[in-house]
Amino acid sequence: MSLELTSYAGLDGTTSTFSQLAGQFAGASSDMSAVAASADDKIAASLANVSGTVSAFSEMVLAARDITVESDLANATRIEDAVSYPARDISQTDHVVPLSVQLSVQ
Amino acid sequence: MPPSYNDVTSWNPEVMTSIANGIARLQASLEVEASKAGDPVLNLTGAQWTGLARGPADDRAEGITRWIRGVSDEFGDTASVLTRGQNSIRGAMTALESRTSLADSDGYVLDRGSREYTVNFDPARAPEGAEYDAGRAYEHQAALVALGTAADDAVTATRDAINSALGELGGMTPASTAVNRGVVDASLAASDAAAVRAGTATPEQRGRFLRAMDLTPGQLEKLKAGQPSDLEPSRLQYVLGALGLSGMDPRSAAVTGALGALERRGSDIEDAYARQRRSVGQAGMSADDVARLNSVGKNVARSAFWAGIAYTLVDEGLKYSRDEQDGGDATAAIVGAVGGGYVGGALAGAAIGSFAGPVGTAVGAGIGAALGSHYGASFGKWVKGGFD
Repeated sequence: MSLELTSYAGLDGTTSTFSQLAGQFAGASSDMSAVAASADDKIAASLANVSGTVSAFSEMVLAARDITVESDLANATRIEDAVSYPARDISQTDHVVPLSVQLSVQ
Repeated sequence: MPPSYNDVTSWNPEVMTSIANGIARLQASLEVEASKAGDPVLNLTGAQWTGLARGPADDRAEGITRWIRGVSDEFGDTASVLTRGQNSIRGAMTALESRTSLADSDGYVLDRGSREYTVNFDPARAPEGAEYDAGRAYEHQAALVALGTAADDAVTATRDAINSALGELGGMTPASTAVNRGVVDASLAASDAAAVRAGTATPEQRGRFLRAMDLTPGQLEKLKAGQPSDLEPSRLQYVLGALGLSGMDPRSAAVTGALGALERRGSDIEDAYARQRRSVGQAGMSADDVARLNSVGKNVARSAFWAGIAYTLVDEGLKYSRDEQDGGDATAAIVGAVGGGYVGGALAGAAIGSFAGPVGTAVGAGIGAALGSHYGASFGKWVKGGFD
């Protein structure tokens, strides 16, 4: 079950979050405290938005299925007109995920 | 002024490696789950779905899968920024340490706590017969200051790189794409609401209920005033159905009154959760429980939350923390909430204690919540199966 996600796959300390950066760079001009305070929230928000986007997608598409002939065209237009998903603004980079990690999340 | 030698050597950049490991897991999860978002549509045979809307739906399905892969790449960027940062900071620290040893062995001992990198000549540690040489001292000191500054710069550069990677991630996953399209099956409202209240709701029911009922304060105000609102008509019917008001005119006094009462209950709950000490005393809750309640209470405050939902979510979380419910159920419950697009992060974070937990489930949750009920049990089982 998911609670074990943090402990197997041979990864040490995957439970670390950005908040643990706090205090690790004492004396530095930028001691990462701002990152430590906000980054976890940004990650969580990003994941929640991914989840919500999938929901929105499913709802939109499902609502267009099994409907009457009259509304078919309207639905087709509505899906076509939906705002497209954001694209990465830099060229695709290939970040290889170690196989052990890849297998562990299947 | 650069940080002192003692400062620099106390740094622990390895924390970033372990964060990077967690981020790589997120990346892998999203990569694996990307196709699960689009496939349920793409895999339908022509006979299962005919019509004009099929083509655009397929395009959209491909688009969302491609997009999730892009999000996964953003996580990959973040992970490599962290790994690179660890390397460069550790490298700078090592350089300063070895240069300091070199100066030591020459007799010029660095003041470890000095931010000016003062060096003091110690004949006892100097090579046989060596004497103090101001030029030599300056050479050592200048080299050490430069390395201390370089270490400081490495931290700043890493901080900037992390911020930039997170910024790109945020740009890639804007809240606007997660906005509910608003179309729900209003006929399910009454049974969903009953199941949520009774605590027997499936993740799909809970997710649908939460999404449909998550009205912004503005929307609620309009509904209360009986004004036409920007709500999707089917969603308005769902809301009314969930409140047992289906079929009634949304402008009627019965409806506006009920909505006003609900909002009142929502803010009562918010007030109750905001008062820590009283909550502990009255309900016999532990400090952890209260903290969890407060985090939900904040959501209550933010989105004009609804009483029943708050109770349900908090209750699931508390049951989990008291071991009354096995992790699978609790997680599935949380997953439903994540599908709703909010609260999930807060509660899941509270229950699991790190972002590594809710992560693998974020996509599945959305799919499960929205698709599970429509595509029959198999998909729902997949979502649940992930936690069993």
